[in-house]
Amino acid sequence: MTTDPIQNFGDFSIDNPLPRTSLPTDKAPVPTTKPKLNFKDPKIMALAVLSVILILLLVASLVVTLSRKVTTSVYQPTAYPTQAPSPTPMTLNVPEEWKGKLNVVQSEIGTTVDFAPPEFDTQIGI
Amino acid sequence: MFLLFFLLAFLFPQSAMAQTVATSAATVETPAVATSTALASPSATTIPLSPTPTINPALILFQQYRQDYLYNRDLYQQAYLNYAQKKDVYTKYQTLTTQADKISATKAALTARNNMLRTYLMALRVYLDVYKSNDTTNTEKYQIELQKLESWLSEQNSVVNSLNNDDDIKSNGQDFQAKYVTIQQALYSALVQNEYNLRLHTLNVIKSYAAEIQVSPNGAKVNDLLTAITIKSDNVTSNLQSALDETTPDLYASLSFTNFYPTSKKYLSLANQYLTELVSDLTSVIIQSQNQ
Repeated sequence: MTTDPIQNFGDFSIDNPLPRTSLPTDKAPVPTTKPKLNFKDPKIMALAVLSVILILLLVASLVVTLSRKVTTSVYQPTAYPTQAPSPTPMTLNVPEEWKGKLNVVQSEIGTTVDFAPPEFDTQIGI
Repeated sequence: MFLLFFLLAFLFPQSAMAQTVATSAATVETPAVATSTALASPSATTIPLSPTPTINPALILFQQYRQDYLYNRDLYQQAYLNYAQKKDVYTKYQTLTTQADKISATKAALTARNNMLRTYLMALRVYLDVYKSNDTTNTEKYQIELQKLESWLSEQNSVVNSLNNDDDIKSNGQDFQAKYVTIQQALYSALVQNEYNLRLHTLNVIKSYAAEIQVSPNGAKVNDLLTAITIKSDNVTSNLQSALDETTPDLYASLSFTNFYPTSKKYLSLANQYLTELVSDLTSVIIQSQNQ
């Protein structure tokens, strides 16, 4: 009884009775010279423009960051003169001597005297 | 353009944040600046000279006591966290060392709690001085009560120092819980009384202005309007009185605290609403009395 030899995965080539087949060794020819960039290509042009913008923005951000570090380390609001509140039509006709008095009363009405009691655990130690 | 915007947003996150912070800070600061500017240099042509606001010395004293209370509140929070931690450790290991640690932390937390509450009551007592003149008798009654509670809390600190075991601490905690009903009753009543005093003061000022107009040469012409003010002022008084009535403790529920404060606040708010209307009415009366 004859058995066909089977090529197993672990067979050494030397013991393998089957004829060795050579792997395809066709390789692409290595170019000897680098392809030159075509600057007239619209893609290359767009890439170059974006790169320039990016560099400019980086430089601008660096300048801005440095200047801000010097000037705004602690923010201090500037006391700009604010426009006086315009009197309401109702109080427009009120005589001057009464305006101050009414303002004081109105500010008192707006005053709150809430003083919230503390919240705490009444079960300590229990 | 979108790409450019994206790049800008990517490159300037900090600057944007800085601007946002600056803007919000400016928003917060602006009212204060505006107020101080308005008070410091009012325009001679548009803004009338208002009477110089006099700061009540009691209010300054209250601010100092309030700071003291806030400091003690911070101390209590630290002590309480430590107590909670030591309690958990003892529950887990049940050893003599962890028990001693827990007792020590509990005593510290109890002392801090008493100090916090005492300083709060002290600040509240001083706060009552600000508008006290409008209802001296009742205000003094609450001030005396608050002072008694402050003394009790001070005594409790020496009691806490002498506690050495869990049973004593538990007993002390139960004593405090019983007393806390009285403390709550007193402090919420004092808060209502304080607002009552303020609103009553405003009402009295409005009434005095109405009386001033009545005796003026044109007072007789606006008598009807002044009568309407008197009627409305009765509404203020009745709401203020209702707010105070709510503070009367319920004799049948003396073992627990009945929270009357929200109801009292409702009446106080109504009274304040009537006061706002009274000012509008008074303004109308002033204008009409000048025109006639």
